[in-house]
Amino acid sequence: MLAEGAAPDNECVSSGAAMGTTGAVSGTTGPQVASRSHPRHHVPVIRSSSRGVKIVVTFLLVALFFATQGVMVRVSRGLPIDWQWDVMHEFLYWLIWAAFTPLILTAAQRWPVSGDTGWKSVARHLGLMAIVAPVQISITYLAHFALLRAFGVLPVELSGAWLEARVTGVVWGTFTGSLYYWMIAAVYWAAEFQRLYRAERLQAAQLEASLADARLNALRAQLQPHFLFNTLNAVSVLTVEDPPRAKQMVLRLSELLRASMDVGDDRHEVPLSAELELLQAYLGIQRARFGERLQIRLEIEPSATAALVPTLLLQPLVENAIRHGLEGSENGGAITVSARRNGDELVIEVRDDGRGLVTDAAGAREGVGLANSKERLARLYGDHQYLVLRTHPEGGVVVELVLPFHTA
Amino acid sequence: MRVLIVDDEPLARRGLRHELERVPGIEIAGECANGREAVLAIVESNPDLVLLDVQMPGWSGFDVIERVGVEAMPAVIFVTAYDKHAVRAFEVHAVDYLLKPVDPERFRDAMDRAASRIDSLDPQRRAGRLDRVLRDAPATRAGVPLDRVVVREQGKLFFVETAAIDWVEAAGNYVRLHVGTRSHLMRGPLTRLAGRFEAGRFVQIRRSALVNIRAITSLERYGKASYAILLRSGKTLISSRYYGPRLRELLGS
Repeated sequence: MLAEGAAPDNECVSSGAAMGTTGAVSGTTGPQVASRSHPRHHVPVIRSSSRGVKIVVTFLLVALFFATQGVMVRVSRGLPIDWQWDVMHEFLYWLIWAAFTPLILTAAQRWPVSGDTGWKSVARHLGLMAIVAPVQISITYLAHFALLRAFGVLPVELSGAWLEARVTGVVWGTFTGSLYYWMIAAVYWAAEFQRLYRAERLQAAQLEASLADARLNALRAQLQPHFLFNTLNAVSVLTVEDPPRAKQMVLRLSELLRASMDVGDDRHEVPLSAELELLQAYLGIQRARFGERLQIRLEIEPSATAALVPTLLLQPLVENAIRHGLEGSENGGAITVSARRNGDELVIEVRDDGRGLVTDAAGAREGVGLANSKERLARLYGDHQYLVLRTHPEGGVVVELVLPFHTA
Repeated sequence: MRVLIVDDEPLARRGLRHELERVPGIEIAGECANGREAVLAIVESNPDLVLLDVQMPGWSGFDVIERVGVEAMPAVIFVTAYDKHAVRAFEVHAVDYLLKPVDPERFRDAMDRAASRIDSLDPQRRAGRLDRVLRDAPATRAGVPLDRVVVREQGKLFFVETAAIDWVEAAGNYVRLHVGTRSHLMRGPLTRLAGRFEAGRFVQIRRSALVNIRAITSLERYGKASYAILLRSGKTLISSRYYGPRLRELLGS
């Protein structure tokens, strides 16, 4: 059938407008038009089994509508019902449109008129329309003719004169048919836009939810409840023992809390120097809690301090190191934080002198904090970053972090 | 009432000390900064009550109880900053706990309750509660097998190295640890103790007896499926027929 044979194959689409129009008549791509999806638009039109039924039913309803219109007009004029033209012809006409519809839908799917190449698509559609419309109306008359001859039920002479009289009908029908071509395509686009709109709204909702989750997780990972409540406990003891120190601790804690509010917002980067100040606030709290047991060394190259880093990036890494460093020996532990510039990279290391990865399964060690840091880095810098955990040759564990060196 | 303070943070320990000093009739038995110290201190000073921090580096509060054993463990008030699972377990099993920062009012209530419970609560019931908390509460425990157990005898606590135990005998609600010529009674079922030893160190030879494999000097067939087991202490034990095959399997491997 022409409806199937006219389907352009994938090459036609990618190789230009001219191919699209000529391919439409000469192509013989076979009947799998509906099920094949375009490489650029992966959305199948509708599932083909239910699609055929839907199309036929729709056009039968349209035919019924117009047949009723014709009949009612005749009845209103007091004329007898014209079964041949008002009923049979209408049904034939619309069912043949139904047969062309898969082709038009496929064309509408492959050549979307929106976007940068919209004008090319419009040209292709005009070409296809110029073929479909006259062919459709001609087929309608041929089928009409064949049907009359086969059954001969209705009083009409089947002659050359009859066909000649249809030429006006073909011209007329070509123009109305051109309009219908666009209407069928427009129905597809409308449905498609609605589908896209719904999918986008769903996606937006999901994205928002996952973003909120990420923020919450970030906050939780950055400032663990255990840390928070132990700090508050320390503060409550200090309010009696040493009010000035209690006040200092509250100030440090609020500094951390304030910074942690920006954690979910990944565009929020701060210079390393500011991040180190924040780290000092954190370490000040931890030193107050753990006393002599906690030793901290900072080895920061001056050239690295201007580099931008995500806020509260270091704190969970240091927290992890403290937890495992202190765990190693109950007498305490030493943490070393170093940062340097290496060409266009910023290299940060956080090292503890705990038991290392030997007694701790690496999986257990890489807790929420590290997974969270990794996720944040990936979101921010894509492939231009990495975070690794390894055993230091002199004992303990090093977290090495590399990200692109950039400044404000 | 003698109270032991266990918390890894010096400030937190001081805070508990301040609160304790305000309660009349309290003697502070000591302060411990980690689980290891706590186990030693519990055995050495045998306090009436332990204020036990749940989350500590190394051994957690639960590890401490596991090491001491729920039977030998004095009364406990858990102290935790944030641990939803543990708190749920405390609630469910009616074990007292305090949240950090410590509310002085709640602290005094808990102390009052502890004081009255120490006099009234049957040690067996207390052990049962602790045991259920250990079972329900969190996976924060190190779960390392016991290298020594704590035994309470005539109000005193002391360690028995598991390697020194020749065999363990079930005796009603107790187990009897046989160490050379001496023996010690411990509360609790044999199965619980068996579960705390390192796998492959002890073997069950009867429903009511567990033998330290290293304490076995020789083994002789005794009837159809039983064995006569000679221990290093000179004692001979007879395995039951049911446990015979298991015994052979374990010794063969």
